[in-house]
Amino acid sequence: MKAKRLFRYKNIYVFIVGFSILWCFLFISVPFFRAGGSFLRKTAVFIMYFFAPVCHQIAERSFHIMNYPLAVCARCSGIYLGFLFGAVSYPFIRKLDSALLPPRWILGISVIPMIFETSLSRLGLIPTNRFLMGFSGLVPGAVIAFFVIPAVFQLVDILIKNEVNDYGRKTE
Amino acid sequence: MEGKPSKLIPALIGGSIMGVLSSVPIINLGNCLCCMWVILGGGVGAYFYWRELSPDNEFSAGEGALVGLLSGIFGALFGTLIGYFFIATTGSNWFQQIMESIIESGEDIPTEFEDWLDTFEEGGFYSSLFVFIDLFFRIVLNSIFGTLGGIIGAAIFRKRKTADREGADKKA
Repeated sequence: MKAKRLFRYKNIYVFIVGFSILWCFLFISVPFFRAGGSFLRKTAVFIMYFFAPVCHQIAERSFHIMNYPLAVCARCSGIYLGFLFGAVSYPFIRKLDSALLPPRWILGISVIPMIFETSLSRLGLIPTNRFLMGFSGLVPGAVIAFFVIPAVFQLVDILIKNEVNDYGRKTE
Repeated sequence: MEGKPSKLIPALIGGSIMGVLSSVPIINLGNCLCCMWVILGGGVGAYFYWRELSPDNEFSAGEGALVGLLSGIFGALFGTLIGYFFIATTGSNWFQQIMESIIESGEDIPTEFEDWLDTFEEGGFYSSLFVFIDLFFRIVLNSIFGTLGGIIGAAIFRKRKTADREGADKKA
């Protein structure tokens, strides 16, 4: 039973990492597509359209490749790349056979750099810096992966009616 | 231990909040802040589910993720309906805005897109087609970020439920 569960969790983990790679590929690929032929430029527009509801896509606040902005701003890029980093490093830090979430204070602490950067930038105390925006997004992105992966393990357990009832009680 | 409450009603509440906030012009710009309204909708769904739980029941992150996922799907449906209403009345959507910003940047775009832009203004076939594309994109995005909102909601509320139960145990 435990081996079966571990096998399932490993598959889910590979899916999450694969999906995260695809997600990052999508928003990073846009400048390359925009520099390409007619079909690629059309593809780039659809990718921009896909990400439009979740990001302002302001070029001045985005990383550029070949003079074209990525499909999302620097902060969102940081969050998504951070999530990928967190997901890849997950098995080195947590066991894959566990579906327990880390304590929630870690999540709270992780967003502090982002709140600081946003507040200071908005107040005009520091200039808007894309690299600072990206870095402040990296930390919560990486931390969120450690909440999302075990939660998706639990979600799949619930969906296949194989629920273990001690998820909520135990925290590490 | 009592049976668990239905996840449908909390998901409908979360989804309707998500759909309205993500579709009303100007207010929907809040989504540019890390998909705020979608995450909030998932979190609201998780909150209403948590409220319905009896003190004996645990609130797992998997359940929060499931409520958030359902909220995301409902939010996509509501959001598309409301969004379609605004497209019909204002005659403008995300796709059109992206295309116009690309044209303004002086980039060479495929001529088919210019034709599409004209048909948007006339309210032709592509306007209806893009409602379905919009629905598909919304389902994908809202499911992901709604699930995230549900997980964060569960991470926040699970401890309080446990603390409430411990308080009730002490009183008893």
